[in-house]
Amino acid sequence: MIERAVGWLSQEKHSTYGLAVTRMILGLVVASQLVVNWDDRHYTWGDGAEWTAPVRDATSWPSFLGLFGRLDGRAFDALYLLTIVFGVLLMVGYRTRATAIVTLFLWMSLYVANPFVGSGGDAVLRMVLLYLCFTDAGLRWSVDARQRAERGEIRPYVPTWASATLHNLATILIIHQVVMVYVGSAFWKLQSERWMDGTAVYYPLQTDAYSPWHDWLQPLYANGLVIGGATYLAIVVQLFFPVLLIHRPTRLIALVLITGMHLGIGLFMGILYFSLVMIAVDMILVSDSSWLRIAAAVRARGRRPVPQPPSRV
Amino acid sequence: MTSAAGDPLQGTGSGASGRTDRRGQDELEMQTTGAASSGHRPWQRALVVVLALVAVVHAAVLALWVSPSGPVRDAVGDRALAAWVNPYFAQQWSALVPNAQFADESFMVRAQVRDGAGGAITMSDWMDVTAVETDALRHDIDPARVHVAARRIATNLNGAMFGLNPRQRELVAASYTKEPIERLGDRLYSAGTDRQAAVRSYVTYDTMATRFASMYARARLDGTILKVQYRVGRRTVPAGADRPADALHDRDFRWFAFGFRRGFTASYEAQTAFERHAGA
Repeated sequence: MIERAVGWLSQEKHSTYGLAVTRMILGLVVASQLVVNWDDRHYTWGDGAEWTAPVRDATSWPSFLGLFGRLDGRAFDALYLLTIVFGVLLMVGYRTRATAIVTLFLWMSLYVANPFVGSGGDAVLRMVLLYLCFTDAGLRWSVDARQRAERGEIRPYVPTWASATLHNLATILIIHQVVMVYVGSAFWKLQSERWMDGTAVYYPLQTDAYSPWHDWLQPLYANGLVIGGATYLAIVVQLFFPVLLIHRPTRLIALVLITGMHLGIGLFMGILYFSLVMIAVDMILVSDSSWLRIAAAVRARGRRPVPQPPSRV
Repeated sequence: MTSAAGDPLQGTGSGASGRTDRRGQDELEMQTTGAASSGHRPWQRALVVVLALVAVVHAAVLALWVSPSGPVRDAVGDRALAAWVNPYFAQQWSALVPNAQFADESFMVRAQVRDGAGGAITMSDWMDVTAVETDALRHDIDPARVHVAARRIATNLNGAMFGLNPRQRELVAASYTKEPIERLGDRLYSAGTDRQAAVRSYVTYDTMATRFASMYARARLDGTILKVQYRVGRRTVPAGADRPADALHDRDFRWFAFGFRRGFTASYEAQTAFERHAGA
C-alpha cells in the first residue's frame, strides 16, 4: 500500500487542469482587488494607514514583508502597479513558478501593511498561494505551456519524481485546507442554537455590514422557508462535503451546491472576493477529464479556437 | 487552444492506466529523467514518505486549529497549535460564513476645535463614520476595503471592553485629555491585576481609535483639533422567530462613550491621504 501511495505521489502530477483554473482565478483576484482599491490605495495600505500601526505591530510578521510599509508616494504606486502586473502574469501563467513566488511576496507585503482591512479571503488566499508555489500550476492552459509546445521541453532543474511529489502533496494540502474549513465550520454550526433552529442566515442579512441589498430583498429575507432552507442546506453541504467527493455523480452535486453557496453569500452578503477565492480552490476538485470535456465543448461552440478558456467561473 | 487541451484524452488520466494517453510533451519530460519514473531508489522512496508525513502532520495541526475545543484539541493545547499556525496559517472558522455577525455596530467621532490662533473653542457635532461606510457598501458587489475600517474599530473596541472589569470601564469612559494614552494603560493595570492581556489589547485599540478619530476630525473640521471623543453603538438583530414584526432598523443603538483623548497629530503625508478619503 505504501508502494502504491509512493507511486501515486511521485510518478505523475495530478489535477493539473484544475490547478490551472485555480491559478487563473487567484491571479485575477489579486489583480482585480488592487484595481478595485486603486483610488484608496494610500489610505488603505500606504501613508494613510499609519493609524493602524498599534494593531499592525502587535502581530509578528517577518520584517522582510514590510516593503509596502516602507515606501511612499511614487515608489509605493510603482510597487502597487507591479503587484497588479504579477497578478496578471499569474493568471496567464508566464514563468509560473517564479511568478507565483513573487506574487505571494508582494501580496503578503501589502497585507502586512494593514491587516486591519483584511478578510477571511486573505487568509485562504495566502495559504493556497503558498501551496501553489510548490505545484506545477503552469503545466496547462498557460503561456508556459504554449512556449513548451513551440520550443520543446527544457531539462528541469528538479528531478521529475521530486517535482511530482511536491506538486501532489501541495495539491492535497490545498484540498485539505478547503475541506477542513467546510467541515470545521459545520462542526461549529452544529453547536449553535441559531443554526439548529434554522434562522442563522437571517441575522447577517439584517445588518448593514453583510447585507448590501437589504432594502431591495427584505421580503425574501423575511421568508422563513428561504432562510431555513439556506441555513440547513449550508450545514448539510459543508458537513458532508468530503463524503460527497468520493463518487463522481455526488461530487458533481457537491461542487454545484458549494459553488452556488459561495456565489450566494458572495453576492447577497457582499463578500464576493472571499467567495471567488473559495471557488478557485474548489475548481481543483473537478477532474482533469472533466476539464478537457468542458474545454472541448467551449472550443466546439466558439467560432474559432481561442488561445485560452475564459478565466471567469 | 493549446495542443495540450486539443488532445482527446480518454479515461481518468490518473493512475498507471492513464499514462498510455499522455501527450508528447509529458513523454518528453519522462525521457529526460528516465529511470526515476518506474523503480525508485530506496532513498528516493524514503524521501517521498518523509515529505508525505510532514504534509500529514501539518494538515492535522491545521485541522485541530479550526476544530471546536474537544478532548483531542485540549490534549495538544492551544499554545502548541498557535506556535505553528500563527501568524501565517491562522484562520477562523467564522471566515466561511459571517454567522457571528448579528449586530449593527456604529462608530462616531467628535472633536473640540480651536478656531485659528487664540480663537474660539467649540465642540463639533457627532460625525457618524459608519454611516458613510454603509452608504459606500450598499449595492456594491465588490466594494473597496477601506469601508470596513470604522466598523472594525467599533467591533474591536466593543470586544476589548468586554475583557475589562467594571472599574476599568469607568476609567475608560473618563477623560484623559492631558495625559498621553499610555498613562491610561497604567491606570487600567492598577485597577485589576487579573486582566493584564485584556488591558494590553484594550490600550492597543484605544490608541488606534484615537489616531483615527484625530485624523478624521482634522480632515472634516477647520481649525486645530484639541481633543477628540468617540463612541461606539451596538444594536442586535431581533430573534429570527420575530421577523418581520421586529426589524433591526427600527431599533436604537445602545451607546458607550469613551473619555476625551488628546488629539493625535499625524505626519503630513498620512493626513493628506486621509483627507483625500474622508475630507468634507
